[in-house]
Amino acid sequence: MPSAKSAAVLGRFEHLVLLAALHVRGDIYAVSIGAEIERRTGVRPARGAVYTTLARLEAKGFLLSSRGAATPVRGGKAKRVYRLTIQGRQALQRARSDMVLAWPRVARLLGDR
Amino acid sequence: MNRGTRPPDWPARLLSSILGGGDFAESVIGDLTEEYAARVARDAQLNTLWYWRAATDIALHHIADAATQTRGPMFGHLREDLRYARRQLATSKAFTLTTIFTLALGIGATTAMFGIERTLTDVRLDIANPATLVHVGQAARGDCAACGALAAGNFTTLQQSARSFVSFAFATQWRAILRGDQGGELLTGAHVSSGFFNTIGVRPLFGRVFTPADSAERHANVVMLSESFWRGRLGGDSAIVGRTLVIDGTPRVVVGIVPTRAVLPEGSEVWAPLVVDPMAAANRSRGDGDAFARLAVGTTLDGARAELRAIGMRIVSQYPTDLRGVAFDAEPFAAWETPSRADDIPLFVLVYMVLGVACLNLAGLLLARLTARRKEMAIRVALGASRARIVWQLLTETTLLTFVGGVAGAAVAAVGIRLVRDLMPAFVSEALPRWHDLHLDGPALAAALITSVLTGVAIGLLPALRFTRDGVVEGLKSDSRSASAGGGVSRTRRGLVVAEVALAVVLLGSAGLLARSVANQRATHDGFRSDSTLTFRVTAPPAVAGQPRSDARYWAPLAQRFGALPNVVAVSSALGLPYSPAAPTEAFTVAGRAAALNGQESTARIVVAGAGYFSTLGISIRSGRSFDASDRADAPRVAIVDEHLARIVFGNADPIGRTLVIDNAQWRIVGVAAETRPNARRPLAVTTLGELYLPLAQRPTNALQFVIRTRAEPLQLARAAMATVHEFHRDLAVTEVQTFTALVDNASAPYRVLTGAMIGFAAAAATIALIGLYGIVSFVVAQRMREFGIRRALGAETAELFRLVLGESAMLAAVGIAIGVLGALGAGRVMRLILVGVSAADPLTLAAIIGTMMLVAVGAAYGPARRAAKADPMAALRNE
Repeated sequence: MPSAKSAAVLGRFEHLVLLAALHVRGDIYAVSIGAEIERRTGVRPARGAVYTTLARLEAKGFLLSSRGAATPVRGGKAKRVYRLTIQGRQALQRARSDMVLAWPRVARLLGDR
Repeated sequence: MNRGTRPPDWPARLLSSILGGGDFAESVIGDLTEEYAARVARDAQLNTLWYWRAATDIALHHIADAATQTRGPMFGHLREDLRYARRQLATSKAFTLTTIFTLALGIGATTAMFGIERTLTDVRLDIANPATLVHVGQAARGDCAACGALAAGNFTTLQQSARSFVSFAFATQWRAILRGDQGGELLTGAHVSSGFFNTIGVRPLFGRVFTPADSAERHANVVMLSESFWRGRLGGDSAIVGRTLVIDGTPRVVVGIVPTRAVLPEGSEVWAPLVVDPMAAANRSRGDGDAFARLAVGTTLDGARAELRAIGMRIVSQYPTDLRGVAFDAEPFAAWETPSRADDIPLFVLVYMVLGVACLNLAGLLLARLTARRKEMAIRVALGASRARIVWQLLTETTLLTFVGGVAGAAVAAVGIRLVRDLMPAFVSEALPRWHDLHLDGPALAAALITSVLTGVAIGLLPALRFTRDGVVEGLKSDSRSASAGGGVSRTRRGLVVAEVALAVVLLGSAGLLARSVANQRATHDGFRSDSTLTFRVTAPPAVAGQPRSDARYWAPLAQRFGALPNVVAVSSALGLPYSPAAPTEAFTVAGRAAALNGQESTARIVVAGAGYFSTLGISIRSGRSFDASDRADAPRVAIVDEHLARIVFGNADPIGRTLVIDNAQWRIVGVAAETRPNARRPLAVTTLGELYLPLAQRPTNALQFVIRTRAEPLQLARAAMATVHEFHRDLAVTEVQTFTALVDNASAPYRVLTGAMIGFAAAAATIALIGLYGIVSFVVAQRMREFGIRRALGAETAELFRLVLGESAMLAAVGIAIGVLGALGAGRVMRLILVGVSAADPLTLAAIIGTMMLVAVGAAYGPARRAAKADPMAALRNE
């Protein structure tokens, strides 16, 4: 992975996490995001990857986190709750339009086979 | 383990420290707790395992992520390397799991031991300025390597004349009895001089410390309590100061609470001012208590010691008969406080041997794996990877592996330490003051992880360097050949397995000797009866006149009441029942004989025997007579010696009629008793000294052990006996209520625990060696599959191939066993002092171990051998 990568480009897993963040009902946090990704892709993501990706997305400015509620079922530990920023939504849209533009050609190539 | 609704504590703490604490760590732990609760709610299985896996996964991702942020010359590739390593390890599950299992055993055992060691030795007190505090003691025989307690009279003299110190503290043991509704309760206490707490530098949690006014006799009715006693027994009531407790039958006002980290002497629950009565003050020879002193400003320890020695010589010249050879000395408080750790060394050696076996095994596994990956390495070199780059990549892989192994090891240690804590017999755990606090703490966990990573680097580096040394061509060539890869590697691996087997044999040998020794002790009978008997200890507060309680006035009437209880067959009493630590040892001389030449000869275990002691316990009198009713307090003093003592002191001469002198009093020997603890059981006994019996009637005491033989189950009698004591006097404390059999069994508990630990370690080592053997044999078989096929094609029988492979394994095992037996013989020699009825070179034990290890070797080779026997000649020829 080259280091001088543009902050605006989304990696595959980052893409999934941001999409999941859009879909989650209720608090957006690591557990709900992991569950959402599993529901949509059928694959349970590695827990550690979810945390590091959330942190990276926040560093890129796509997510914003705050200290959430600490319920008894969490052993009195506070949640870290995320929300999507404007930049986050824009990044998703950009990613989508990149894909939409790129796909027709590729689809044709694949279809030719 | 999977039933709890709360997630395990250990992985959470570990993970939190890896994540660096703070909000982020908190949220992650919270998430895991939440998911764990959800799993429990839907009855999922293996939740603890799930938790460990999740925590490990998060930790690894976090570390990899953090590593990418830090860019050094080597760390630049770390992320790639880690990912590559993860993939590599995931593809060869058998290898990965074997390695992690091996490491978990080795590191787990080491960490658990380290945790136990830390808990038990971390007794340092929180006192002011420990550098200037010294412990002052006297030693009986000139050299002060082991300065002990100080006599009260000498303390007074030192306090008056020593100029090197600004203040002094003195504490004597006090068995305090707290009056309660159910009967008296025995507390561990100390009588302390008025300046005690100020000299030590203790600030009370509440209230005040003692003042000189408290030590004036009229005001002696004040006490201080320990924080743990106050919290545990009095509910931590903050209005405690000023309340009155009845202790030793006297109402005493609580003036202060001593914080837990300032409890001195160790284990004290209650303190009262020391009032030195004139008789005690005259004592110069016997140690009464522990003395401490603060060095004056500008005085060095050496200066103070010189002054102490000078004062000591002056005191000795005043009391030449009492104090011949006695010396005074001081040592820094810290040195006195910290017990010697020499006792723990053998156990540590064992633990590191297990870790050593694990490391050897791991090195072997890594070598095997690298052999299989030679071609991959060669191709990478051919494509331009530098040697450093490849070594680094391999190191990353081993370190990742051992790190996971270390985490698993921490889990093993956490479970193991809990098992050890809960399974330890009460007799042992009560003797270790901090046993119930036993836990794995940060440093122990850190040690586990550091050990694991160092292990990874150490065992990963060598194979990595070895493999990258050969050129590209060599690497590419080797794979195309059908013969077994690199003879050198094979040799190294065989050497490692041989070493593993040898170490396992040493451990098995030691464990076997101990186990046989325990069996021998069980098979040996004591020289007394302990069946159907209840024992307990009754402690009385000191009488007002300061004299110990006499038999006629006090103990005999109590014994009579026990005799009236239902189902009681016989009642007797003693202070110093066989195997109980209660008996004091005292020095004596034989009248008309020059002073003893060495300490052993003139010391005995003093047993104060109540009426009917010998008949109740069934101890036979070999010659002379037993004590009888004529041995009253006012009659001439008489004593009985056991055969052991008689042999040591009088040789073949008849001891009856001779006179022994104890503390200036003369005791005439009237009988010789059989030994209660035969030689075979001596390692269990509290002391190996001979026993000297004195009649209770002539030797008053404030504490006595009763033995009551009953027709019914002994413990059923306990309640009635305790009620009897309480009715007799409400300030008597009853402790150590147990059957006599339990008392005897408890004496051997530490020995059995050691044996159990040995067997556990040995089993772990043997298991690892088994894995190692299996690994090498199946590796060799896999490499020679084609050869076996060809052999079959040429007419070899399956049985022949089967034997060939078993022989390979048996050969390796035999070499390992041969080396191991030599080591086991050495270990046996070290242990021979604690072995009973079995020689260090016990042929039966050795034969059993050789047999076991050969079985292990055959068992390890069985699977691979079957595979070899089934080698397909067609497949072999097709590939040729």
